[in-house]
Amino acid sequence: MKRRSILLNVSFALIWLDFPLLYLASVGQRDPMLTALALAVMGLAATLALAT
Amino acid sequence: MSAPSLTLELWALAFVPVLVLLVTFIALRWGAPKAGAAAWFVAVAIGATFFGGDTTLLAVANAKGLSLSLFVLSIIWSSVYLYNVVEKLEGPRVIGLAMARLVGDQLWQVLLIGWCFSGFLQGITGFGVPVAVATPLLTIVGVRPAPAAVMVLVGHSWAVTFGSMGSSYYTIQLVTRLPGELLGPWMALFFALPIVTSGFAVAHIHGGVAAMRRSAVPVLVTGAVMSILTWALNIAGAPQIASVFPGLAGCVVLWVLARLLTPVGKPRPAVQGGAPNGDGRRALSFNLAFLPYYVLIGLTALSQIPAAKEAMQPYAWGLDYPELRTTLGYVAAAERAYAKISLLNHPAPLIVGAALVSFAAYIAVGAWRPQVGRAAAKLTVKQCVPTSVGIATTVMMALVMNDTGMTTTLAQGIARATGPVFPLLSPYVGVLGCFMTGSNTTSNVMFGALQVETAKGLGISTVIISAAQSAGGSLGSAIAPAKVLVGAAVVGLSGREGEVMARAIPYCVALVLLLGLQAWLFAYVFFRGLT
Repeated sequence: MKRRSILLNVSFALIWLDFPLLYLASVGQRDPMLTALALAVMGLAATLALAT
Repeated sequence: MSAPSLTLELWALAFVPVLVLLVTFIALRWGAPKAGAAAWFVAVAIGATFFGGDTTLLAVANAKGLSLSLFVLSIIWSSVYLYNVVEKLEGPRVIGLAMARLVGDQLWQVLLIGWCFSGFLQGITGFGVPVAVATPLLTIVGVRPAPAAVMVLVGHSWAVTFGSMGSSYYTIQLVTRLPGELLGPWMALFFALPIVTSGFAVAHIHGGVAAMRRSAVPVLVTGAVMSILTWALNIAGAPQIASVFPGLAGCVVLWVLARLLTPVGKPRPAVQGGAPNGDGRRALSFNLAFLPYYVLIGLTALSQIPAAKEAMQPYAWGLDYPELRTTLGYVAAAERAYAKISLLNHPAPLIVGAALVSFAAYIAVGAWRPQVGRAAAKLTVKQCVPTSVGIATTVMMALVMNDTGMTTTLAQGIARATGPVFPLLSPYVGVLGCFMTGSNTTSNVMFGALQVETAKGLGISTVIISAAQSAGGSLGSAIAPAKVLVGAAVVGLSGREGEVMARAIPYCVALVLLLGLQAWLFAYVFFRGLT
């Protein structure tokens, strides 16, 4: 239960920390590398949610 | 905005993320965060591989999903925190017992608590709280646990779309891009039928057809008042209280009718409150318990004053998104101030304002306890983090499907396969989404755009089909496993959830069938010309 809670909290934090990066990379900077990185971070957040 | 050419293979691929959600929720019984994440992965992979979405398009779609999630989650977090503070001060118990004492007859009590008060609770909070609070109250007035849980599950379902401070309603408005001043009143009109039928359903659960006959006058009169108020509040631009007020008004109307129509019973003891507790803290009276919602109603009324609206117009936040195109030629339109959060036109700032005023009042009258704020915050985080991850992943999945043209492909296939029968089935799609996720909001995110695109394909009103989707999701919450588990647990029926659900399903199916008939009549007979 505690492991699930930690994973969810980290996933939650990653999702919302990634939001500005995702926006700046894809809309502001339009930098393909940064955009790919932002998507990868979202993938990590989703992986943590999947591991719960 | 041309969709990829419709082929069976492409349609099947577009359906895979939805199928993953269905299988993980229903067959594997995964929670929303896990199932949402799985479906998100699948949507991103299929969107990139088969629908021509490049990394920029996918990143923009995900950012849009988070904009939309922020809009909805800010309502959920603020309303849940406010409720948790009031709950820690025993406010809901005081309010509920006061309601129960208003009428003497048990049939009237079940209508008041299971139909109107639970609807009011859904208006201010959601998340199974109406089921958790109202079900034990029904057992206090002598209803057996299983019927009590079913009464509340079915009875509060009319209030879900405009409940939780309007979060499901705002979501369907955002994903369908229909203007609120058009969608709100039509949605309210659509809800008149479920408001009345859910009242009769509660009466039927209590005492069969005889109870339905006996409750005809109170259900019809109260239901009419609640329906008119729901519509009027939407016309007035206050959908966030379009369950709160009608639920409350329903309690008052039932109380007045009970005094007029039922024999006077034994005098009932006054509601306790106002006197100091054992810990020296002043217990909440009904009015003090209700204070945050009085303030919220006042702030909502203030927010509708044109001068206030104009003065606050600059105080809004929303992100702009560019137009993007997939390699298959599907165009995701540019967005200005997407999912805009306005200081006076969004429920969250109003809820925060109501909370601050009320907490100051509680401190002033000595009803506050120092640890309440922190305990409520801890509970809110515990309740809202899993929900937030579930909503964020599911909304991002839905936006990836939207912006890569998968939703349009799905809709075209459904329109071609179902033809004119579609409005009849449309509310069941909403039920399915709610059953899978336990949330009318998530159901609207998943299927709102799909339903609208299907309606466009059939040349019928998108407003009516949007209303059918959300109303179906609303009624579907009566059988959502997440809520059934809560209802069963609070009255000691853990392990017998299947029994509660089996009792609730026929009511849900019947109510949604009536809703489907209404959607079909509205779409093809009465309002053919509607947008």
